[in-house]
Amino acid sequence: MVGEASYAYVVCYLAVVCTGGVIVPLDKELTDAELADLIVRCDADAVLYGDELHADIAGILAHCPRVRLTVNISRYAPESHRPGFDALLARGRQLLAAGDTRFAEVSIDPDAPAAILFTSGTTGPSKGVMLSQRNIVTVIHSAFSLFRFPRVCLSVLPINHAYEFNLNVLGCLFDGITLCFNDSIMHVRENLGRFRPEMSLMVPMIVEALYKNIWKEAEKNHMTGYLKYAVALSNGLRTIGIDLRRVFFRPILEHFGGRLRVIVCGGAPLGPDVVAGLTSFGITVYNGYGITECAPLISSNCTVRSVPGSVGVPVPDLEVRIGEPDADGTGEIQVRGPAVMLGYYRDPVATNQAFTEDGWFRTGDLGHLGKRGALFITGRQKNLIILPNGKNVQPEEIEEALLGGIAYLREVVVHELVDQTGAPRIAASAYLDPDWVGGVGFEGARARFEADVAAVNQRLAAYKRVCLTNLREQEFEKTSTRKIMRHRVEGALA
Amino acid sequence: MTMLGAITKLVREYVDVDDDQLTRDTDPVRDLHLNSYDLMSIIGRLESDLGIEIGERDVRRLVTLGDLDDYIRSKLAA
Repeated sequence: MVGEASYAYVVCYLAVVCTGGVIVPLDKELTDAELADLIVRCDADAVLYGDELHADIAGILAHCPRVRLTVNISRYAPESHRPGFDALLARGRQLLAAGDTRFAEVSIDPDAPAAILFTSGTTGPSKGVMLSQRNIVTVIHSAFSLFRFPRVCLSVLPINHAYEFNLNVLGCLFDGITLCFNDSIMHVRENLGRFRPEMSLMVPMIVEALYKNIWKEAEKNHMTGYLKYAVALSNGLRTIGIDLRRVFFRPILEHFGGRLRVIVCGGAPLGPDVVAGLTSFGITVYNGYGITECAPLISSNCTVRSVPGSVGVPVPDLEVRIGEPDADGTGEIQVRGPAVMLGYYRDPVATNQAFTEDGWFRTGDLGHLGKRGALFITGRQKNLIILPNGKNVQPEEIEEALLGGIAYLREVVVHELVDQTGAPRIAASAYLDPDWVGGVGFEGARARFEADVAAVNQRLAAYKRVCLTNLREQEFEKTSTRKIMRHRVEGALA
Repeated sequence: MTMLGAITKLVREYVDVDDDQLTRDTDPVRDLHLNSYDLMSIIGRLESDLGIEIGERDVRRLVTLGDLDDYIRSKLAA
């Protein structure tokens, strides 16, 4: 299934999993070729899609011979793009009215695969994480053990993510919370005003942008000094138990709809200054940590316990340990419990590598358990690039695209590089064929390489595009087995 | 004001940059270091200001401000 967040999307998802099927939510930002590849790899029989894909779907499915059924699930699609969701719904009601109860009588195996979510793996192309209904239900239980959710939530993140669907969508359904859908990432501010939510799940990129806009707006209206004074005064009053934030900062809070009190932030690290800044205005930000393979929640700061700088305490349904800790207690974060995935779809080798010999899932992230049992993330063992929007990018996938598309490229390493504004970017450091460079000159080679990278970028999803390039005059330093020493590359470019 | 002028005016609300630094060839992500959320917000504002609908999947095909200019003008002409 691939499409925008909507009521129809949720109904279709539940219809598939409640009848014993397996749902495969795909990212609508992927290119047509990437979508076709994943549809083939997950052995899909049917494709449910949003109207935005209508023009492209025939081209995509030309590469997917197994697919027997396609349905446009957008309720507001033009008449010519139907029959779609409403026709399916009507047919279902008709069957029920005629006494067909097969739907209700399906026996569900809670430990069978219910969803496959494609995520970036440690090497090569993305892997299909198989989650069971038990995995998903466990994570909902974990979330509600930590949080007391308010009554109106806004869904802003891509609905194909485990973080958004399992925690926000299914969590809200579980607890009878009103869930409002943001129709597009282009309209977050308008929809905050329209739906006036009390809570939202976000990623650092959105939280940081909303916070930055508060100060930009203040600067535009020559109110920066006043705002700083009001924050200092309000923080002072809070130390003696007087909380007037929702009075002092009402005009600011109105930009968030006026009722937003809680943001749960995950997907990537969020700066403590933003957490403290929003808290000063009356919006509490809880930082959490998860990974798709754990459906995804592993730990979170929460209403009852919050440790600044940490990603909170591990959820009650999971055990967390630090594998092979160093002298400071830092090592790989490993997890065990009923939320941990069944494995990677049709990839027993990767599945085997993802677990320790004694059955703990290896997250690939480095961290330590600190005071009051809180988890602190200190880095990653994998090469994975995690962008501020929570998207994971596998460098090897981009390297493969560059090497396949640029004939004179001899070696390349794709990695994260922080630009002058402090934002992480995808960078490519490259070593070109020296004979070819000799022929066109170094500057000529640079210009041609940048143009060719731009051409390869066109074939990648927007968030995977290389933003910065660097040419090397020497080959990369390598190990004795001729593997590039990646960790030496990033420092050399900074 | 030209369409490109309207786009660059909006971009300057998000990033401190001189007008003459913004051309049709400017890549807002690579050259201006805008993140994808800022970029989508800019496009969302153009959508509502101009009364047109811009598909998110179309946006990924737009790399430079010139691409955005051409896209919007084609939408308005349609």
